[in-house]
Amino acid sequence: MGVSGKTKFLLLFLRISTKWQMSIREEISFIFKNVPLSNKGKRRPCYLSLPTVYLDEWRLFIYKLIATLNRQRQEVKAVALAKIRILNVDLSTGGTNIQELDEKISKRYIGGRGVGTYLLSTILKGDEDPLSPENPLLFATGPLTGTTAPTGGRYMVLCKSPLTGLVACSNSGGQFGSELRRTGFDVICITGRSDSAVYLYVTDGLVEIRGAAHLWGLDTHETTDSLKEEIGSDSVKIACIGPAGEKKVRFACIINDKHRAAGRSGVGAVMGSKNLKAVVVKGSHRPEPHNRDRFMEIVKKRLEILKSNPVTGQGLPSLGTKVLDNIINEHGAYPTRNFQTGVFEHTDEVCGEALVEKGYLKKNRGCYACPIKCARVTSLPTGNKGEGPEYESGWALGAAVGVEDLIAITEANYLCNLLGMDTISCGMTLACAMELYEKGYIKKDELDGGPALRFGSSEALVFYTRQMGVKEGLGKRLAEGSLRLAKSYGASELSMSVKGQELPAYDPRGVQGQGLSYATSNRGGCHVRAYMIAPEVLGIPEKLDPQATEGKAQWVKIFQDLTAVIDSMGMCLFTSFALGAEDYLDILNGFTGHDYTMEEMMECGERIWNLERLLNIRFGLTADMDTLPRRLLHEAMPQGPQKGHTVRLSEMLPEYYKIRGWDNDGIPSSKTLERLDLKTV
Amino acid sequence: MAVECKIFGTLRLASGIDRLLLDIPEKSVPLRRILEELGQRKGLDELKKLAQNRNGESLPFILLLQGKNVFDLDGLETVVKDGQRVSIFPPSGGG
Repeated sequence: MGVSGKTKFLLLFLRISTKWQMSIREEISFIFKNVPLSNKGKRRPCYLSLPTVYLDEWRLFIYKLIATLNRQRQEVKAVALAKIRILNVDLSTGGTNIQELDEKISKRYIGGRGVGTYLLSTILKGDEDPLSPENPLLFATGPLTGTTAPTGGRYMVLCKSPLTGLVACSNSGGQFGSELRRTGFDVICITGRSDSAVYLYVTDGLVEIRGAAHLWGLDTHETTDSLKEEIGSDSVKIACIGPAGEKKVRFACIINDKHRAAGRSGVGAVMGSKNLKAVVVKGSHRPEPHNRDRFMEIVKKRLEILKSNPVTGQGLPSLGTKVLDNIINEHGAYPTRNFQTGVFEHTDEVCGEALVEKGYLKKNRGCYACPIKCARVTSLPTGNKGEGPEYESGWALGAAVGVEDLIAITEANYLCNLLGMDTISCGMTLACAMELYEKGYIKKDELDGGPALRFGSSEALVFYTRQMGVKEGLGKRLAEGSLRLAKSYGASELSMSVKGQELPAYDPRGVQGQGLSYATSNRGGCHVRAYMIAPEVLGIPEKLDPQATEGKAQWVKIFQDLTAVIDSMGMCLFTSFALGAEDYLDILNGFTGHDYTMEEMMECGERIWNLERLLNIRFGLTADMDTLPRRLLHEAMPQGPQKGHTVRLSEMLPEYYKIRGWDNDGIPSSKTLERLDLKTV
Repeated sequence: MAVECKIFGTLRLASGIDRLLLDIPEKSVPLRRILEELGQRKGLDELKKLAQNRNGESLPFILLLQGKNVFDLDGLETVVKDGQRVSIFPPSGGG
């Protein structure tokens, strides 16, 4: 507050560009005469002395000033965000360029997973080795990433998978995706291979390729901490690989924000093959909705739905995904000891409730803009701390390998995060190795002095998890994944995988639709392409008989298409426990200003699904790969509520092809391609 | 008759009960009756409300009898017999 004579002045300090100064000058002179305003040069500080006697005018002025600034900011962003911007980085040459995507394509593929898949289809011919420089690695955000939409912080990593040889498309949350979007780029597309270890530093509209030799060999936490220290900022967001990615473990993941993972299909190995240790992002562009007021209204309504829904408002925040251990076990579909049975007798010891009751759970944590907050912050009596286990990880490193020791499970989970490995493939590869050992395929002398590979051994769990991540001893062979491992012993039927990717935590002999979902998933064994557990077990949005096969093909198709939409938007699939397709339509239109109809939006999902299929066919996929491990089709569940059942895939698959508009060989018909504008692919 | 009741999720955390053996004079009862009995206990009052719910079409809870969802049987009217196991979960999701 300044004083001049008897009049008091409020001194306002602004640092704005000349253009803005000029534009507010009119407003100012309208309210005050002779207010001093500096306008020398660009972005110079300017001082406004405002006489406080005219408080009301002054208040009005501030409001007008803010409105002016906001209006200008909105205009700038609206121009910047009209088109999807792709940052291309060629690590072989060090060359970079910025590409803007045709708006027609953006509307057809929405963003994230859809746009990423489209870009893959323009780059990959089909016969590329996934670990060669020719395989691109994409970080793709959706239109809702980095916005106020609930859970709008998701991003996708896409490439050709070194595990399956098919499309890899891994989703992650945390804070990285939203920050990436704020740099002004929607997608980073990395090609080539650097001669030496590097990391990318992407800020507002800029990218630097920096040396990372000093980071090579560090785990994901050390890498994250070192980079923050080196850059001198705690607010940069980092996605990186650990030793597993560097050593190209076929199911290595990319870890962002220390605890979140683009987990499946080996995207971390592709990053390692490029000698790319990390991507660091920091931006200040806030994505602006097409119509702010309308969008805020839409968001507010959905936030209320998510908060009042018992699943997203209560169950997931308090128990996380591990609320499922008992549900699935009681249902008799909790895959135990490499899917040999569906009931784990020690579930009480390892379930989500036990994690709370034993005092290991410290609090829950959410990703960017998330009202659900399902992440588990844990610490163990051993002194180790971290996040997890989640349902899938806790199962893969628990029941799947027969381990009932929650401390060992959590330690192995921490190890996976530090070394940068997918917990599902890690646990299920170990489960396969244990069965191979117990059945006499793997001999004792192959263990290199390591502990016996017996189901239930906590020691073996932790020991071989580490060995896989650093590729030592037997770990070298385990790092190839369960299918390659089992095949090398002539026992590929013991790999519980689809298209080479290990199956997750639901035995489909107890959930028929989930079986079809596994068999037809475009990235192999996976539960988040069509989460049929929701209707078949949890009764969301309505309860289906899990042993019925009739009508399941249609359900799977709709779930696959809607999931593709949600993934492409940049939102979390967990919102779908409370939200329906109409909600996503509202959010998508509200932000982008597009006028998708429900049919058009669902058709985008269908188009994305079919494009993934076409890419897979280009990569060598054939219809006989749309199947399940022999065990699930021919060995009846030996005990529990699902006793006697197998997956009746043949009752569902032909109908699924028909509904999809595919021929008997699982190839989209020309009529289908025409309808979806995919004729030219 | 004796029925084994297993309580899970937030209900278990709220009530401190993970399982109990319910002794009922009748030889068989509808599930609704079991929920009423359980609903008397502290932390399980939601089950009482559930038992009073006549709209069986939209059961928000997951109720399993011998591992089978009662929705695929007769809902809250499903008959529970001596020695059977009932598992009760509040609305849940995950992945």
